[in-house]
Amino acid sequence: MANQTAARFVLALILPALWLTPGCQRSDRNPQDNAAFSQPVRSNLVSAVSYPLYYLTGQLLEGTPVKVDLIAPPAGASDQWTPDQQQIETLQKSDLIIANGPGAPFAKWMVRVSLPESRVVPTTDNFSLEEFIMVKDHRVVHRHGPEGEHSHPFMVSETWLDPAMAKKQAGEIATALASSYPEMGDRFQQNLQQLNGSLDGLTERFEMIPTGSVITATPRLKFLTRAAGLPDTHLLWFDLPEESLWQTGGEQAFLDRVKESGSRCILFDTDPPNWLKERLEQLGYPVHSLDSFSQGGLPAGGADFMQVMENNLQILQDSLSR
Amino acid sequence: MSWTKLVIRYIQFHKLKTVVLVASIFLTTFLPITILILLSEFNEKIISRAQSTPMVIGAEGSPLDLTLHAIYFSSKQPDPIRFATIEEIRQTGWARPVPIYSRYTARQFPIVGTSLDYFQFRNLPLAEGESLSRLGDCVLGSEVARQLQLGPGDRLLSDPENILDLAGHYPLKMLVRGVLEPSSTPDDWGVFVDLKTSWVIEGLGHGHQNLEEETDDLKVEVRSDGTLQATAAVLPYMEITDNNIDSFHFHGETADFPITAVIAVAPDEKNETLLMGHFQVVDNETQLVQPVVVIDELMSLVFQVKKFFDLNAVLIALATLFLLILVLVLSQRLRMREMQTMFKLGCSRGTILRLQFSEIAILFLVSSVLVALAVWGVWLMAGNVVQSLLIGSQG
Amino acid sequence: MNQKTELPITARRLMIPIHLEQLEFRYPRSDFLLKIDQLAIEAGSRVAIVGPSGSGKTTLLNLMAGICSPQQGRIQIGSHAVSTMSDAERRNFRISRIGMVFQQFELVDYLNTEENILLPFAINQSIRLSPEDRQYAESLAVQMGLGDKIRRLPHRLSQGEQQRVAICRALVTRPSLIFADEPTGNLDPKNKTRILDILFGVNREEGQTLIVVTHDTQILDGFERIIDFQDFTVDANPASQPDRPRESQS
Repeated sequence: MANQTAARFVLALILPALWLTPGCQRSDRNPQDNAAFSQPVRSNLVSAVSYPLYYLTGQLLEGTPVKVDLIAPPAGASDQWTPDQQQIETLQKSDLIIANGPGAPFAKWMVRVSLPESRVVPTTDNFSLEEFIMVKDHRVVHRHGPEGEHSHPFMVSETWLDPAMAKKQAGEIATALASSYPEMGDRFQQNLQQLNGSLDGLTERFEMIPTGSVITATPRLKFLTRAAGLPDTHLLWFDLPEESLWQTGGEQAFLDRVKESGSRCILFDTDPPNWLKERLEQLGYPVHSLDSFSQGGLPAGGADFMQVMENNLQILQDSLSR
Repeated sequence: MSWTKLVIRYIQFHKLKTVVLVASIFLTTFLPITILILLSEFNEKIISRAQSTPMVIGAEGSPLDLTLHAIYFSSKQPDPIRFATIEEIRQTGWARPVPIYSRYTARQFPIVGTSLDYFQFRNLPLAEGESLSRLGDCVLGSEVARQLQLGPGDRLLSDPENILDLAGHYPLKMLVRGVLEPSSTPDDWGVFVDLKTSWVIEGLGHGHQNLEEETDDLKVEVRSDGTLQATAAVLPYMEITDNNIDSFHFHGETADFPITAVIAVAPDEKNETLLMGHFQVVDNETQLVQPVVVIDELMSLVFQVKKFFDLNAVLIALATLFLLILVLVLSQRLRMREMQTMFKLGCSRGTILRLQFSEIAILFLVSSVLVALAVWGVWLMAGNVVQSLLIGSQG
Repeated sequence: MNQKTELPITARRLMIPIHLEQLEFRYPRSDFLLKIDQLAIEAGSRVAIVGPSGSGKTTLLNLMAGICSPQQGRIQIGSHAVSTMSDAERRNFRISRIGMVFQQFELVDYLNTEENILLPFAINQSIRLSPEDRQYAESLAVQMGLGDKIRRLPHRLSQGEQQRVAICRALVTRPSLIFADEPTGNLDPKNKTRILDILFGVNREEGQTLIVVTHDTQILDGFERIIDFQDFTVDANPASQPDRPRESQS
């Protein structure tokens, strides 16, 4: 800096005498290396924002040096969870961030964190609109920003509960991995074929589910019921009803809602409190608890995605067989 | 007493004449050199910046406005385009898109909403602190940090767009997360935030208390259909903290959210050409410009104008030179008797000439040193002057 | 004229006589011709040169001072043949042996009294300013009544004071000859008397040869010798003019 300042002073002394014509060039930095930016340095680390995506990615990375990390709310955390600084750093240095798509409740934190957008892989982007399940959340209407009065629409994000959708997502992940690690492309293809085989097996398992209609505590299980070809009536029990509210009209509202469905089977993707479970059973609605991975985190008991799905299907089959 | 002291005494005695002559020489030399330096700095900076920005995509309109906005965050913004353009570019696979949304300011410095890719693309290492982590974070350019005396951990409030627009967006108090190393580029003058933070400033995303837990009737009213209506008493948070960050959310489709420009970086010429073709054929609402081409056109025009200025400067310099000669000749004529006396006293004609020459030389030397100092100062400040001109003058 | 001015005590000057022989001088592109067959001025004498304007009084002074060179003839000052000296030799001779006083004082307007007195040292490298010279200059100024005006610029001095500064400047190099060209021409009677007293005092005390050119006949009383140029100056027709100045002894 001192040298540069001195050099500038000397030049400033010479300039008046020389009366240079335009063209005196100085160079502070080298021009950007665009090619380098297009192919950034790799960390051989991939992050996934939910357990099913973590599982699919892990399967695809089998036998490669690339590691996958799960960044998701811990068990029991609300969907308003935000990663800590260390997790944010992990995300920022990841070669790819495998995400579901917009609006996933378990990944709401993604809008609150600075991510290298070009490395985020939204695995549902190529789904057609008909493939998605949208539920209008009509509970809260408010006004802010330029869009005026509105309520929050609810998009069901547990796409992996439908093995065909999970297959598509695995395909998207494999494409992104091959693009980031082209030298491992063949390995990803092999892994993908193997994974697709497993998911196809799961699809076959769905075909064994008997017909019937169901009631779901939240719309989160809709991909599962749709894949099984089961008509469902969904409740909006994102937050389970409180006992006092249940007694002051909650129960009647429930009965009004489900009377049209003709179903006597209620599917939860969380464990309801005992009083509710008992009351529902008293009313003739036996409760069945599945796992939709809606928290995003690791499943309980060390089971993997396939095992949990097998278990879900078994419960579903049992409940409908009764 | 030596002859040099005689010269100095003469100059000291004729202060006014000396000042006028020095000022004439100074101004005649300094002004064109200043223009030359500023233009050279302008040329160098803007070309270097344009060269380092391969392609810019933005709304149809003036390519120059779009280019200056994308590379200098100039306050004259092009119309916004949809964020979906980013995905559109990404889908082609021909280039990496880096979004720019620069509409707001903080203490008059442009707030640049972008992604982390921008820092990698511009090769901007941090001098202190950390990079953007969460909503509400900002990273300051070195010049912003220096002028505002801010560092990591400090807070910086965004400027209201219009102080009379009470129903408009609320200023956001941002957390300074880090400070960039000086780069002698417009990045030194930017307040960088995550694109999503700039959308929060825009009002597209916000955080507020949970309405379902709110018991104050002034804030929430229950409609006849059972839905909840938030009243104007529910104010969004003006600062994003550990305690309230979880409540921040966006409404609407991100794809429809605004950005003002996209920098597209293709790995090679082939992909670049493909992307250019894509935007020429497919889209009528957006345009793709190559900053180098736009700036080359601008600079060729500037240098055309400069030729006239150069001619003018030469004519002024000649006129000043003739006036100086006239003043010096008249001055020597007035001093004829003094010189004659010195000669009679025993002073050689050579010494007399040396005295006269020294006086003129000192005038030029003093002027030259003043010009050099001023030019030096201009040179040191040229970068900042050009930068602020480019960032501010577009407004 | 009777008033004596005390001067600093210094070693007495070398008494130098002046001899001019067969001298002819003509200005370029001019009809003017100064022709002096012979003229001798004794060492240590007080000589006034009088005559009408344009008669060649100042020219003679300039010739003797080596400011200009004659086309013909010889100027001998002491052992020095001024007429055969080079320009540089004449300059060095002039500055070391001759003190010059002018009618318009010819002080440098941007130098103060002290600097004006010391001017000869600044403009000629053949003489070096020693601490003794500086002390001598100061004592000269004090003797001339300029002790409290040493830092004043000429425009803040009266005419008499300015001429006294000019005399100090002429004396500061301790010359053997003092040439004064109309030294009282611009002075009032009181100052005229004072300046002449100083010049005569120098001549008396130091033995320096004093040659004063003047057209003021009222000041001739104190001179030992008066050289009248009235019939001496030669114009376009030198043959018709006498070649010796008319002299009178006072």
